[in-house]
Amino acid sequence: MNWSAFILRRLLQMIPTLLGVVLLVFFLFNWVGGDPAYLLAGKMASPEDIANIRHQLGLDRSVVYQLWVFVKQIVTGDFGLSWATREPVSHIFRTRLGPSLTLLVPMLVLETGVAVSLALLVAALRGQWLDRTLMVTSTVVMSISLLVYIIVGQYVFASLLGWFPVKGWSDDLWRNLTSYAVLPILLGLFVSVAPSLRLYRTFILDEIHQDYVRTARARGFSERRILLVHVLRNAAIPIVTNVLMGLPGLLTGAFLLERFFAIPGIGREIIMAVERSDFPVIKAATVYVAVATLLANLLADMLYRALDPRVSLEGKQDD
Amino acid sequence: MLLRVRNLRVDFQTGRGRSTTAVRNLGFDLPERTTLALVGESGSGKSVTALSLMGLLPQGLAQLGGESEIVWQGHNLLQGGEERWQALRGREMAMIFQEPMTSLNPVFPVGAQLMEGLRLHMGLSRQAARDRAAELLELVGIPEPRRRLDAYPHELSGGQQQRVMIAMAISTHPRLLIADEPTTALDVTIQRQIMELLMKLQQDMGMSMLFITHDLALVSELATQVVVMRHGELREAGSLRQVFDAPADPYTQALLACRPRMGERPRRLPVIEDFMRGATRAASPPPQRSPVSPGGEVLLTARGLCKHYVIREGLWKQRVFSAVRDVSLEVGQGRTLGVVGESGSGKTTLGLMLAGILRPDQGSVEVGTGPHGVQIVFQNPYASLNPRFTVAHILMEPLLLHGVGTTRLEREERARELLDQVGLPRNAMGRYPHEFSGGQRQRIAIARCLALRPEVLVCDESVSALDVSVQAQVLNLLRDLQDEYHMSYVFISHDLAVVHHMADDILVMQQGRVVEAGPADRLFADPQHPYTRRLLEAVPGRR
Repeated sequence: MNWSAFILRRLLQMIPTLLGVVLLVFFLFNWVGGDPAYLLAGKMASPEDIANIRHQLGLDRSVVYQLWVFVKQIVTGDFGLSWATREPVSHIFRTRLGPSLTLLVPMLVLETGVAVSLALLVAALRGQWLDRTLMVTSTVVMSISLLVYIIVGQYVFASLLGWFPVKGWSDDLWRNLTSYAVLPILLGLFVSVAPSLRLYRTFILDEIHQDYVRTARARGFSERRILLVHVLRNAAIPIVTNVLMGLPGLLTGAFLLERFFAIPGIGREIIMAVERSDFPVIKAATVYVAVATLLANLLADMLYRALDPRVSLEGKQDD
Repeated sequence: MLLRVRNLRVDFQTGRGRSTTAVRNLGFDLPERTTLALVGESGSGKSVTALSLMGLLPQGLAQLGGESEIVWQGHNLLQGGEERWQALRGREMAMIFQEPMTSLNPVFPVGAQLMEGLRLHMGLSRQAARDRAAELLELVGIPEPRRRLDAYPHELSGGQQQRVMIAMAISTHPRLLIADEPTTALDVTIQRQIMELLMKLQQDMGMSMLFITHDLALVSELATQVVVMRHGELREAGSLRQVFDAPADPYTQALLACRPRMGERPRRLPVIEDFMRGATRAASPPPQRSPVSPGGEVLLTARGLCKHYVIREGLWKQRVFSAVRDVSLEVGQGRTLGVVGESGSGKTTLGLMLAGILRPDQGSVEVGTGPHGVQIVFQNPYASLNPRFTVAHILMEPLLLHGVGTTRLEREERARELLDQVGLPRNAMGRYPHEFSGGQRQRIAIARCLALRPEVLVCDESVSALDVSVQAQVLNLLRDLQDEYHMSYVFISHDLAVVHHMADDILVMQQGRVVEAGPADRLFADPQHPYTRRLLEAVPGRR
């Protein structure tokens, strides 16, 4: 079986999943979300106003028709206007994606690099004091909320020492990367490296106890070579999978970091939309995240298969 | 003298400052161009000995005794420091292991793995290393060696994987090759090929070989010197003839006697205790059993059993793989049907269908009476018992599920009876599986099967994971149960000697089909199908 057949089959398999997501989102908003006309009209609205709004939104049409509209919105990518700001929803997502990625792409790259390097180091020194100290430290670091780091970081490094701006954003990518994004990236790293380090250390230690490592030692290769060539290439398989599973997170942005550092990203936009019951934005975000998750899973699966020669493109079918 | 070992002692830390001794006071000599066999059962310390010779004991966990000497060509390696060892390892001394599949790095092609050693140790250029790697693959008998360089380990068969391991080991012209159970994981016909390859290479390259095994039959084929170990101590050492023809140590005598042998069919196998107590029965051969057990009515009938698996190829295409094709059989009361075949022959799938665990795609299985007529005992007694259940829980669960016994007391009484039947003490009830040895666990698994009073027991490689001495005890237990309760067995095994010992009738399977069937004595004496003949010729220790 070749790659195109594999990808095509996986894309076809996504259709029922996506249909499920669409139906779930649609009915949740229709039945659980309350009548959007009441929310829009405000407290002082007359029954006529509400009926008017219902008509404008198409809420007086049949459920089937509304579902059809929703599906059309998804396929065309046109979710209409935000109820709160009258800004086209597609424009919101297009313009907010840049700041989110400016923040999160460097964070993901740095996190992976730092976590893998540290994991290799502590795996080589397993059981020794540095290993134990780092493991205890990461547990402590993990146990404190990001909120604490944000507030302390903004106070100490931005306000007291003045190394970074407290918050803000510009239109210049380079300026953002060198000034505004630095502190949020560092604080985000501080929290995200610790769990990854612990996880990757386990992946590497799992490999170190495999028989092929014993063979490599018996063949007289150095410990350094065994770790960096034989073990790392095998541990890369779960590590890469884990990194890719985190990709959909890029789309939703870092809610807290964007909010506290006033970065106009998608994460902040979603929080505001929830606060304002801005249904079109929330609906669009939900669908986008679902699609992104499915695509990231497909990408992870493809890379997994590319990295591990043992996994074939054929799926064995159970009877 | 290539290698001299004196006073070797290895202790393992077991936590909280305690330690156990894996090897104590071991000494032997290995001359140049000689094959020495290190023989012992699990826990004998034979693999630990091999690892300590290579300097590969787990650091921090294992401790070598202060008076230990490992003398390589006159130099004590234990005083030379790690550099000296590092210079020998993978160059002068090489090692191959039991599991070729896991011993090769799964993500690199075999050619790259061969070339790595050639480039690092022999200083070859990339192209020269690739040429040499192809030569080596050819030398160890891999067809189309150039093309195979790019194959990944999992794309090769088990035998070919072990050939690649051997090619890597000999690539630096070592003076010593340590082979730790190199054929244990392989089929019997492949085992024969690998043994012949190792013997040929040892001769041609003038290496010494340290061959580690639990199987005395293998030893008789290739070793000139034998060292027998038990519980970390040397029991007997000497030339092959000496050890085999006139063993002085009762343990060696027991090891030689308790392995079922082709051509002999004693009613019971001698066990270790017989010898360790006073070695009286060693002289007199045990009585031959009657050739055929009395056959009663037919208890188990299978007709035209088929099992297919569907494998997807491409977007819509599918390929059907037949694990079992058109197998029919009958088992009479009190009789044993042996099923032999190599891996992939479908014998396990057949066993699962007979036990009603797997539904056949075609054909039918009929059991004489009762719904619990067939039970199955699996190979691995470590994995087939729930580690969080007590023995009482394990034995009473099937009783409870099938509504046997009305009260808890009644079921407990039945569980105690079951323990009696399989020869375990009654105080085993409150204990957990990990507190028992492999042989005892297999007894628990058998007791669990007996709980529902089956008429037929399917034994799928049930003694294959056990040491020879323990194997004899479990085989004797199965025999006793058969005598007492007139049970029938379907005895599945790759080990022809064991099947020969147990079975009245034989089914030979190859690639899902029955290629030959008939009474055991006739089939072993006069095999008709070429595959049966090949299997029988491959059984070690026949010459």
